[in-house]
Amino acid sequence: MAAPGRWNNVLIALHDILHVSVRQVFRQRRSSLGIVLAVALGTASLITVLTLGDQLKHDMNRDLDLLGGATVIVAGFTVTDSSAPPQAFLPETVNAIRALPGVEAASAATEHVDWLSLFWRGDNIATPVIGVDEDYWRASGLEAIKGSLFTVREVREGERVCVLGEELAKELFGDQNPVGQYLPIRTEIFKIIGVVGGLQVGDRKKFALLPLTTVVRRSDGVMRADRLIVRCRTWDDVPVVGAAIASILAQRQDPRYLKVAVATKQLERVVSMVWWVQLFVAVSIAATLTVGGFGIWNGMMNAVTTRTREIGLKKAMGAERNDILAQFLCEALTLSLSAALVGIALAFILVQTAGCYLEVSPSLGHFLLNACLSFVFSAALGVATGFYPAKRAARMDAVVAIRYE
Amino acid sequence: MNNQTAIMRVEALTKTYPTAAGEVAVLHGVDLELRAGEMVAIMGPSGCGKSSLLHILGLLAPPTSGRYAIMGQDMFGLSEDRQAAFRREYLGFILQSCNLFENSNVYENLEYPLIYARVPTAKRRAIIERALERVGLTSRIDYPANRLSGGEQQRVAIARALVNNPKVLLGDEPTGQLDRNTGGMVMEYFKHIVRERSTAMLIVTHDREVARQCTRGYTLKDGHLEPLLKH
Repeated sequence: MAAPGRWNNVLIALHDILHVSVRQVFRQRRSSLGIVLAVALGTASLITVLTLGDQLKHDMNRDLDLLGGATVIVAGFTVTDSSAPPQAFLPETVNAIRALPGVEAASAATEHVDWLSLFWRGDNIATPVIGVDEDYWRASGLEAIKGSLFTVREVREGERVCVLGEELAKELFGDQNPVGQYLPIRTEIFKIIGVVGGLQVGDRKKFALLPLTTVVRRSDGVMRADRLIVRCRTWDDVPVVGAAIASILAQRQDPRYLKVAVATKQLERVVSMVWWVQLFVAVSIAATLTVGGFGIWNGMMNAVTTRTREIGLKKAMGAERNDILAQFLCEALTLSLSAALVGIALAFILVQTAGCYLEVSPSLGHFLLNACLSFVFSAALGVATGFYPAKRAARMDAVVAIRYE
Repeated sequence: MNNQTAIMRVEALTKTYPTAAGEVAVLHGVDLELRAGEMVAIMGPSGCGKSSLLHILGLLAPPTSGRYAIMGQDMFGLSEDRQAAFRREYLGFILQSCNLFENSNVYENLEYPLIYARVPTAKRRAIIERALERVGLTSRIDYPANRLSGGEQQRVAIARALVNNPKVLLGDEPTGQLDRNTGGMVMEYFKHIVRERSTAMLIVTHDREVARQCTRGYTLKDGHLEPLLKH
């Protein structure tokens, strides 16, 4: 007599397992709602943090930088040998540093501040003047509060234009708008194209800023591009970029007198603070997911107990251990994946809302990738938390189960 | 199949349970043969081992010793999964009460044995309708199981036990929770099914009236089966 059944079938059909499990979870949805919500919230937080993490980090860098300049590297030359020729950053050196990964802006400027005579309404005012290139604004965190700032064209052409610090502009023009007016500096007339301000302006609010080339050509070698200001994208880039500056310079010019200043202490404090914030966020998400995972585990353990007789009946009908295991595991998976889907929908709303608030456009591809990762994570959570209850159900003694009241 | 062919044969079956006071034997060398078209009743006081015997015959519990064959195939040497396959193919269970899955409707209750037997989805509805037709409940196919009356629930349980065309039906007090009229009706179903489909049925019962309607009857006493005098 041939053995009955199809021995090759290890499990009942997948669509049957899915159908039966989804139906079971749906019919007991009231008791599962809390579990699904807990996992959904954890998943939504995870996706949101992963999707907006880079953008938040970038914005946090920018905002924190306004307070301490933690991501700004300043380089210059310290010439101790009096016979050494004057040192300046060559344009090709600056361009090579701009091209480094992690560099947001690199600007060459004059280290020396020239006090020039400014003839204004009958007075001779000594005004501090520096030469800067077109990247100076971004590298230094300065913004035009009126008019505009130099572009590459004005710097390349050495035009006679200038940007005033906001205090100098107020001193000279009072409440009038200085943009478009002309300023006599020494013997030349410069057109005022803008006024700079912002939190980072510092003592430059009293300065007149001229295109670097314009200043260098008129200074007979006193003023030169001997100050380099580099703004990194994030604090993680600072040590790498700081180390690369010296080697890039060494490939193109004499590196002997180079001095690179990195705000190490500020950087360490910022990184430490952010690390704690990240830890707090990670712990919160982990706690939410743990609560959700424990909820699934607890819910499945309860289900195994309350459905003991059902398990016995199914075994009496011919269900194998693997059939019972698969069904309970699939129910746990259904719970966790339903939660993941709700979480993904929630995360989409959160990311869009946060995107509007932060004025950024999160990448849809990045969101989808994180959604897929979270889906896989939720599946793993479902399997991890559902496996023991499912195994307990599968190993249950059929006679004990049938007699269970 | 010849009506005299033994579908199930048990020889020298013993079952002992370990207790604090030592091993307690509930079955002492039980011999039993079940042929197609027969209804056999097992009676006896509570705790005499009737259910233990039924569970062993249903491949739900192992014996301590003895031989047991279904359709000539030795059962005790089989793995757990192969025993499950024999249950799917040859055995149908009807219990005293709480036989149905409360959160499921009648169709879904009858679908489970077909799922475990790997019957394709497309064939299931027709099989289930035929099974329900035998117990006169075709109209209740999509009805929630927990809204059926006690008699209807037991008839659904019978239909479910029959849905895979088993060779042997095992009933553990199948009319125990029913009133006399409904119980009588259920017994008529059993007789009809056994006769019509050459199925063998073993019923464990306390009810002498149920035993009276069976082909043969035994009392389980001191671990042995003794024929009922009425027969």
